[in-house]
Amino acid sequence: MALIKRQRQEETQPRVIQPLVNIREEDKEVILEAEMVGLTKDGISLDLKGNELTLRGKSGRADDVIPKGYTVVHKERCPLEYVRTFVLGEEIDKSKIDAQYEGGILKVKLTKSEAAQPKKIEIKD
Amino acid sequence: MAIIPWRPKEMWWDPFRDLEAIQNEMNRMFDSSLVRWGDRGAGLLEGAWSPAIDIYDSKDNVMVKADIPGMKKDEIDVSVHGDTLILKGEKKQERETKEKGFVRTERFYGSFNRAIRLPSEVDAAKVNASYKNGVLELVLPKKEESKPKQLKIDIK
Repeated sequence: MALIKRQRQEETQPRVIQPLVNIREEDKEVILEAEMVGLTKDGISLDLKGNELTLRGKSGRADDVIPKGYTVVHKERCPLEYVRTFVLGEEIDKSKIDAQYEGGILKVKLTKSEAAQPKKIEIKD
Repeated sequence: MAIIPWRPKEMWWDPFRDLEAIQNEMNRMFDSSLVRWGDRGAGLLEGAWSPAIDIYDSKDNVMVKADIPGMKKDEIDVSVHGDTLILKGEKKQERETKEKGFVRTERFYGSFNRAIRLPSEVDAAKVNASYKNGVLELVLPKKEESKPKQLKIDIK
């Protein structure tokens, strides 16, 4: 029953899923790439609450609606809403979060604080 | 055994509750895996994924939309053979970042190849393709002879 109900619901409202992510740690930063297809920049939001970073994305209306004058032959894509929360570690500088959206991928650059960056120690003579 | 050890009421076996638990588990499974393409651990399917597509039809055109995130325009190969549309490509993980400090990799890489039977024959020379925000959109004009014809029949 719940399954049937769920399917009916989907026709009208987007399905909420967690985007797939790649996380990579470098010396000075942590890079997070989330796969969020078919959104526009305005449909994406990043919220930082304490040390929780939440990515949200909602596909634009235009992409969910059947193009004008067309009828559906086959449909696999469905309106999606992406939500995922990450807990940031102490070493991330929360004032330096940078995000970019290109080709369906949201790239978030998290810079590590000075103290957490590796330091090279010079050897004196 | 006729004697059943007593348990508090909420612990009694309720067949419907178990069914509900199974259903919840199924729903959860669908939620987490259906929209994601190609389960990496799925034996035979390993290394293969296929983009989700929509096909629309109108009087003059066929429109195809496909979700192919994180690719470059020239990495996607689109061809038309008669009434079959073939989408091909390979999603490559950048070399320089391949071995470097990954904490988590969920995104899928590999090649895909998908053949789609179009509702009618199209003019391959006039296909219009665009790739934006991870969505490939193709507008394929129908061939003149395969367009629906309207014949006016006079009633005598």
